[in-house]
Amino acid sequence: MMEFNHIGIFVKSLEIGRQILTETLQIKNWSEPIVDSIQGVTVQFGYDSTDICYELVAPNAKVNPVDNVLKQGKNILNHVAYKVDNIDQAIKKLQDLNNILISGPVKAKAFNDKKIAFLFTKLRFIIELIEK
Amino acid sequence: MREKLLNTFRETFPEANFEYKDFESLEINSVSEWDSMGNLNLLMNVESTFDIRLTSEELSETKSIKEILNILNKK
Repeated sequence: MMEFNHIGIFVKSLEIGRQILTETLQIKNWSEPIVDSIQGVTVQFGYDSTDICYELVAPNAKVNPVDNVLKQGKNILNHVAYKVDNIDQAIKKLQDLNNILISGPVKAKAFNDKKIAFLFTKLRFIIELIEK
Repeated sequence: MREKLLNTFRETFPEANFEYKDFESLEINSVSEWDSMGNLNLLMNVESTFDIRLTSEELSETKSIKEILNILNKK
């Protein structure tokens, strides 16, 4: 079963993203920033009043997935993330439905070194899978 | 077919700067907008423009104008 986890937003800096989401959506209970050197990003999680989780993703290395997205102004509301029991099986199932694996599976520090993967759907948005 | 693909390419990457004669030698990352996500957008626009369906393997592995033209020639 796929269990909704978070919405990922790409930002130039965590500070700016945090300020704007706090003001506009009353996002609170921000986690500490977490560096993911594999992805070249730093992430931070916050929650709205219904416990929907937002992930801010900011660049922290020369090679990162954020800069080009911000430059192009597309896919800034970047991905929806779901937790799955077995990431390899979930990837295979989504690939069989014509979704394209674009990254992973790789370990992610933000999720206690559990594996994550990103798939591009035919509706042109990204799904992140996180292994439980 | 080449012209139709060129139009699709320009619509996908309106700021791409390249010489017309060099079009067939273009590949992923040869223009700034054509990154991995741009590549998927381009291939999906190719599907729509040419009314074809690319396989998952084709969507994952096709990364140049020559390869796109080869696929279009086979479909």
